Amino acid sequence: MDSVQRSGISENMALCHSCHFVSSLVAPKKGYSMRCPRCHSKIHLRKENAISRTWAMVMLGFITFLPSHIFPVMVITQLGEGTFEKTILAGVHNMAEQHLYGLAAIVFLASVVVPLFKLVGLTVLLLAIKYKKLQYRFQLTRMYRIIVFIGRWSMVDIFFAALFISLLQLGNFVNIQVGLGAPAFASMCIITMIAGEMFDPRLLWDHQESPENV
Amino acid sequence: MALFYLNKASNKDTTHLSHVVCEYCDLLLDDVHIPPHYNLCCPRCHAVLYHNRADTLSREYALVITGLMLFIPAIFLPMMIITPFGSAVKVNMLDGVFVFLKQGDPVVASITLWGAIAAPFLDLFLLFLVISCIYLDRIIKENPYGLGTVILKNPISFAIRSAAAGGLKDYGVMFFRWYKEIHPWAMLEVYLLGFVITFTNVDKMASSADAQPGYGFYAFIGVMLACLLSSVTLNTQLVWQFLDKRKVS
Repeated sequence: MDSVQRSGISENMALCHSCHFVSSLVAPKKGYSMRCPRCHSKIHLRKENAISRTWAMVMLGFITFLPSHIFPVMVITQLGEGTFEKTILAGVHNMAEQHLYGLAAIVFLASVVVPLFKLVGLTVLLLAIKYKKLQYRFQLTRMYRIIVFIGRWSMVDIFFAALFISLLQLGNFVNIQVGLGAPAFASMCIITMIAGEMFDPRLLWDHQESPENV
Repeated sequence: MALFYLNKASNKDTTHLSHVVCEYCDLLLDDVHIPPHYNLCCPRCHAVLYHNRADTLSREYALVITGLMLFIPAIFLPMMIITPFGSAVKVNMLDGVFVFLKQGDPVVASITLWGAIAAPFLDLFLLFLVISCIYLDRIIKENPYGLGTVILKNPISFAIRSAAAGGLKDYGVMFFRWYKEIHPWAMLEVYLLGFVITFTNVDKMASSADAQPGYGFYAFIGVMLACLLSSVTLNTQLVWQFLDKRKVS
């Protein structure tokens, strides 16, 4: 392995994120933006304002995480048995009570563990860049890829609620309403997915002179 | 007949790339040769950068058309049927959206609509348009006079066809860029997991209710497989090369 590895930014070679075409950057005329010669989308050496945009989205994610678990996702009114307000965690508890342990585990993973992992993981990535603790950047880059990959699976709770509520609503044997938790949870999913796309893991590799140059 | 002919352009060769930049760690590699059916992994961060898959564009065309045809039954036919107290209750995919709209929750309704219906449809439809653009372009290139060749070398038909051939690749590039943007938002496999959870829950909850999947569910499985398989077998770099209008040296 070379002692000094060449990176795109040092050679002024930009990767097009849309078509993965590599082109050498030429400073554009004033008022023009740099475009990929093959697919004409905008190209940058790094994503624009990646750090501050990701911070904003992660903060928003943390803010929406709380109401999504405090407020109920469904409000169920059963004849003669009163009203139940079901948060996501209560739903998990309910499934475990009915001995559906696998389902309880899936819902718990998808709606609590995955969003928390995404938010905390992105925070760790941002802090690592901020304080230049880059000795674990190989592992951090791998974690970033996992964060992007598992992001979509937290939407499973929304789809579950959609099918469940419409099924029982049409059945007319219970009255079931959507609670405040559902929009909070759905927007949290979308926000964390956008946060993952806004972050640029190449910022972890920009400091070649860090002591642990593996 | 034309489509059989187009299968000739398969990549059985090693792909050669003059420059590769890792998407995740910005490592620059020069003169990379990738044998067929091999992946290129970044030596520094171990991310998979390039799949040198075979050219199965005609298979993807078939898959995408199948998926688009199955989309209508997948949306409108009932996905799940329960029969509490003797009367059947049927739910399809659109009910899952409209129930939120009816209860005054447009945020969740639009997110469900986007992730489960709109994004997968656009995903398939844009890929259909891209492959159509590539094929039409090739057909015109192979036979620039069209039907005119049969009768006489008709200049009008030649003019129309060459004008179309100029614009087709531009449209293909535009559609493929949109496809790349929309693709991560198509979440049919997540919807399937949601369906499984609902199904088991309802089955367990009401013992009098007999839950069973409807025809819409089978159509939905077809759409999901079409979506997944077309994206898994697609050689994106090859599509970009087909759409490239610049003169390749």
